[in-house]
Amino acid sequence: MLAAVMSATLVGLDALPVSVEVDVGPGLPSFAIVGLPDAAVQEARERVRAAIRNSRYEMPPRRTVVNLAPGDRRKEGPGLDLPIALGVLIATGQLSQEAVRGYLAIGELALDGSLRQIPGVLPVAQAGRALGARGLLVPEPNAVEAAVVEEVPVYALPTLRAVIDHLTGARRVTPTAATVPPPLPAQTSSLDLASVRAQPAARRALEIAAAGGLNVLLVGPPGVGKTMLARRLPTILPALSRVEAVEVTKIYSVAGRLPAGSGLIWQRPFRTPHHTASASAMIGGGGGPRPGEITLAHHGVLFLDELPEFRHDVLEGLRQPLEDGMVVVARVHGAVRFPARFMLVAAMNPCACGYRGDAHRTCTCTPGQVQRYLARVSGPLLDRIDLHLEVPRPPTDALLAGPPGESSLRVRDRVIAARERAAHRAARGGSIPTGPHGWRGIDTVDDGALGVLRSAAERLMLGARATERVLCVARAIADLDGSDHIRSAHVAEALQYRALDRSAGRPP
Amino acid sequence: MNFGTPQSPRATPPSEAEIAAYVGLSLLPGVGPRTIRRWVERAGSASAVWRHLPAFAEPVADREEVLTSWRSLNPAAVVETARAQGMAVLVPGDAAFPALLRLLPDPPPVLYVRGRLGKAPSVAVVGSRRATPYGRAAAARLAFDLALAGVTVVSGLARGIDAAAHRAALDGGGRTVAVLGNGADVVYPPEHAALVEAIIERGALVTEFSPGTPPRPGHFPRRNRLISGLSLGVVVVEGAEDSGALITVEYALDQGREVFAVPGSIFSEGSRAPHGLLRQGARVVERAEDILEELNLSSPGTVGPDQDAAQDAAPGASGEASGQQRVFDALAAGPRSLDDLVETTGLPAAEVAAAISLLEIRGLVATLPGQMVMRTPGAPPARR
Repeated sequence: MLAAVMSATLVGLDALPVSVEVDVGPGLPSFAIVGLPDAAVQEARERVRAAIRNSRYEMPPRRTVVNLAPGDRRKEGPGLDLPIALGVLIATGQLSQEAVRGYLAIGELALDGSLRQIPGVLPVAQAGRALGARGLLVPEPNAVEAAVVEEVPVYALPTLRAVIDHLTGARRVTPTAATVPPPLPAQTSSLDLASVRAQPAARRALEIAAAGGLNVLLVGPPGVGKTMLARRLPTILPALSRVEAVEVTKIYSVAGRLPAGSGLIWQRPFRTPHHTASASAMIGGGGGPRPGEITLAHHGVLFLDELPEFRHDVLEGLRQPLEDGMVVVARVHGAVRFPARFMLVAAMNPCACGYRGDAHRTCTCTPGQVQRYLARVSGPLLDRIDLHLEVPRPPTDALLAGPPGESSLRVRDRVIAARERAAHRAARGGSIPTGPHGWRGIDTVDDGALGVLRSAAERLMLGARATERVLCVARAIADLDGSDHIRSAHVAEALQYRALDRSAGRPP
Repeated sequence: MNFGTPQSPRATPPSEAEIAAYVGLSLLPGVGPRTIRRWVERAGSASAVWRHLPAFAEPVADREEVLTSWRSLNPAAVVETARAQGMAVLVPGDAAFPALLRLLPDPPPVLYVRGRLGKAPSVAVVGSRRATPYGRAAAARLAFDLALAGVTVVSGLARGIDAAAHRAALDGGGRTVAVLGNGADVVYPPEHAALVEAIIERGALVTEFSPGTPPRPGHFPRRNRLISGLSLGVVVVEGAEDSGALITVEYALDQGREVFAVPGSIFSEGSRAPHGLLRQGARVVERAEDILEELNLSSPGTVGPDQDAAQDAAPGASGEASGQQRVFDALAAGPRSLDDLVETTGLPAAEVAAAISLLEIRGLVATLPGQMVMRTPGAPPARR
């Protein structure tokens, strides 16, 4: 007898609908899975066999063939255990095909027949909605996540037996309610910009970066607070929108980093990969392929401390995602696209010993050493970083006794206003809002601003790409200033945030 | 009293009667600046000329007409009207009367000024009203850089090149002076009303014409004489063969001013005037430095940060310029970090950063590793 059960498998961040067909017929007893299953799917045979027996159903010794359609795409992960088990039960007459019709089933089986959490249920639920499924059968720990997709009823089921009891009507389960908490109010972390004292220039630069969604490089001696500044950047960014939250949750779900029973992630990601990270850990890859750190930082902040210590191929791999806001990981069975629209915050010392330009310590580097240290970060990568800021050592007394700075909440209000202005302008067809993804057109730049820019390019020796970055920064400054036009004062301020371009032109 | 140089500045400001007399003389039909100067030199003061006008007017062609208006004029009332509208009434004896004009053989007997004439060196940027985009860009670029270098940009408030030059000078954080062919209370052309306000704030409107005088074609040559007279040099950006800019050039040559011309496209009508001047030996201008070098204004310190703007900064005037001055002053004791400067000046970080950039572009300060800012060796010492 033939059976068919609807399910799905992950391809990148999305789910591909899979029809699980099972045929049980005469012949030598065997259990075969065809249709490009990966190793985990092959092993489903053993789990399904044991789970069926331990749930007190029969696993008849006959010739069993499972086909996963479409046959030309690779299926992965243990999530197909449940639909395969259901297919076997239908094909052996222990469950009616009619009972399963319209349901999308997914979940990993334990040998005792209980259902285990699997990664990537949120995209599967979206696929179920697209297919018009009448319900989703998912492991209990995945239910809240699946219920983010509100249009399809989600049934949280602990065991294979509970699934069948629900389908046969022996014991119906009520759908999991879509418990979507509202976006958390302002203060969710103990971090606050108020604790940054006596560093007005750095505070201002962070505010500009947040307003424009710009990439920042902090350069300064050890211990001046570069990491402290970076960690506070998420506190002045606007809250995630629902659409953004779903995207972020999907990424963490697929990466298997979603805690059991959790729903939407409402907090902006803040990722701090170590400088020994490999290219595939950073960019994404592996057999899956799995999202890397840049995708985990989507809609959030990627913080790279000790930038020059990162491997060269890792840094170069950042260039294209920084430009495009996404990364394409190519594999034999097709390419996968991961979103990667993050703010890059990098920190580095001004030289190998760390004390160049420090008022209180002497730098022991030779000019050659300084050059070599700075050269580890390639020019093309620097060109994609909008703000370079030198962070000098703040005076100790100001750190201890100075008044606290403005709170993150107040700064964030200005950031939100600036972003709204930029979005409004983009909606009217004006120049695209700032960001690493390009600033186009000079329609809103004053003659005066262009004049300052030109004089600066000539006298401070700025290159063409640096000049474009200055305009990006000036765009964000103008938005903070409540101006659609970029004026000379905005450009003049922006010029101060290109420390590394200009160190080339100044005397050693 | 020294009869030979009645127009040199005096220790005491000119009396009200003297001012009124100059105003009266300037309003007589058919009596020009050169005649007035000759009469005043002979009599020793304008008020003496005014009292005994019938005697002085003996050789004038339309003597009767002159005397008729002499009898009917009330110069004191004109002065009062002008002042009521916020104008300063300057006569050659006044210390505020521009020194360059005082040296002319035919100085204007009266200047009505709205705003403030500074003491900084001035350069005129003039050209066609029917300017091409190239011409406007060229005028703006030069005027901007001149303003950035502390030079006052003089022009005629006309459409096209003039307006572009005024605007760019203001954008450059500098000062600009507009010389008018009408009363200082008349806005012509009318679309420049906002520009006029900005110029009064950060420079001056200057005219020889009494309040209420409408613009007339015949007034513009006299305006052009003042444009060149107020300036060390005249830059012609665009103009047709018969352009008014050429009249300004003629005055400039008479007055001993440098003439500069900006080359244009060979396909453009607007290139005829500047190219004609180049053919006759005018200096080619590609960058503001070409002008500054020729006029000996290029060494750092010749023009400090905001010589005039510092005074403007008093109450309510341009924050941009005063920010630069305050940052520059704060660097007197040696290099400082941006954070220090924010604390010392009390200005927001944004404003300090912008001021540093502009000072850097002007070559007055330099930044060092570690976010330190210092004055460059060539920068002038602190002012005030």
